[in-house]
Amino acid sequence: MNILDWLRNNLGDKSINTDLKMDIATSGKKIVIKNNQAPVTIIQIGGNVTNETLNQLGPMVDKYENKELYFLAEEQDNQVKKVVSTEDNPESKGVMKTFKGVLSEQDMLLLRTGLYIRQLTKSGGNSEEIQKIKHDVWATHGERANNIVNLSSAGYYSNYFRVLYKDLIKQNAQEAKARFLKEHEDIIKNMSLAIFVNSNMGADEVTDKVIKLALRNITYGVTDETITLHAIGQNVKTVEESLKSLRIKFSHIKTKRPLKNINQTVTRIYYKENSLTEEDKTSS
Amino acid sequence: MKTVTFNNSPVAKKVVLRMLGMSVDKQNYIINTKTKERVLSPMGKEVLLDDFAGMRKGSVIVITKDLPSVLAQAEYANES
Repeated sequence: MNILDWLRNNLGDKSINTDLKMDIATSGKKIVIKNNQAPVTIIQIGGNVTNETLNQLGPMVDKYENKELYFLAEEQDNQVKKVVSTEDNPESKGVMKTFKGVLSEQDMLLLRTGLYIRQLTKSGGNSEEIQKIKHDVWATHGERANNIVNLSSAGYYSNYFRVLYKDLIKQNAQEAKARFLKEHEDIIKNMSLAIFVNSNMGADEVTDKVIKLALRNITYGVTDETITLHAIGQNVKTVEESLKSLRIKFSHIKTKRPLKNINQTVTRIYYKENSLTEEDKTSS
Repeated sequence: MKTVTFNNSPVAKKVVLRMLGMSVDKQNYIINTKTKERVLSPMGKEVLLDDFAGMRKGSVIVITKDLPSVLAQAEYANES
């Protein structure tokens, strides 16, 4: 009796009616398949992993072909379970509920990735894991995706974007989604030169951040012309206060309220037209 | 939908790929063993063995190791 017959006679479909764990020795000398719920060795094959051996795993491939099972690396399987359990908190649940059906499915996955990083950071999590997640996102999905993950992990969907979307709904529920997505896309595309003012920031801190970013951009020869300040609600006043100092340093500043009747401002600072002093450079 | 998990070693990945009619070329990209064509990720990119995290049957089949792709697969599995 070969292994395939043995598998069918002894286990039949039972072997693949529950999640399975497949341990494959790095030496390639054996394959051990275990039922996750009751860790019993089902197959143990000595020698090299030959095509014949692989054919003996036929029932699994049949199930795969019928879309009844899929293969996933154990590390990623564990990671998904960790993400799902980490999402069980008021902030993450609130953000996901707000943006489900508003953002695209792909953007929702990026949003969740950022929320997971946020929770890891809050709990003093593994910085190596965080860096790896961020690197993989950037390498696989590019700059735009990276920006969404960064904004999400920094809490901007919990605060800024959520407030913005709720205000838009209050104003005109039918148009809210389209208006939000347009504004969201503008922000994502220009994010590398953006500062989001939050309620913990004072006017001096905003001024300081703009000067630092301007000096960094000049030093590195960044070609973009503007730094953008985003503010909503009470933070609009903070920006207005900050502009009193910023207008002394930068001669060309434009403020817009892109969304009618929403207390939100987008301020573009043409930072290359500046009168920054040596003192600004040394104190930054 | 049931899950078959495998450990993250290159050997384990290659065994899974071989079970499903795939292998890797000299540059370590995943290929369809019959056609020798490189398999594409849902993002339309060729996939290195190192980035391979799993496989499911369907129009888009390779699961890459980045978290958004893995979460997408988890959502798909929950809905199936």
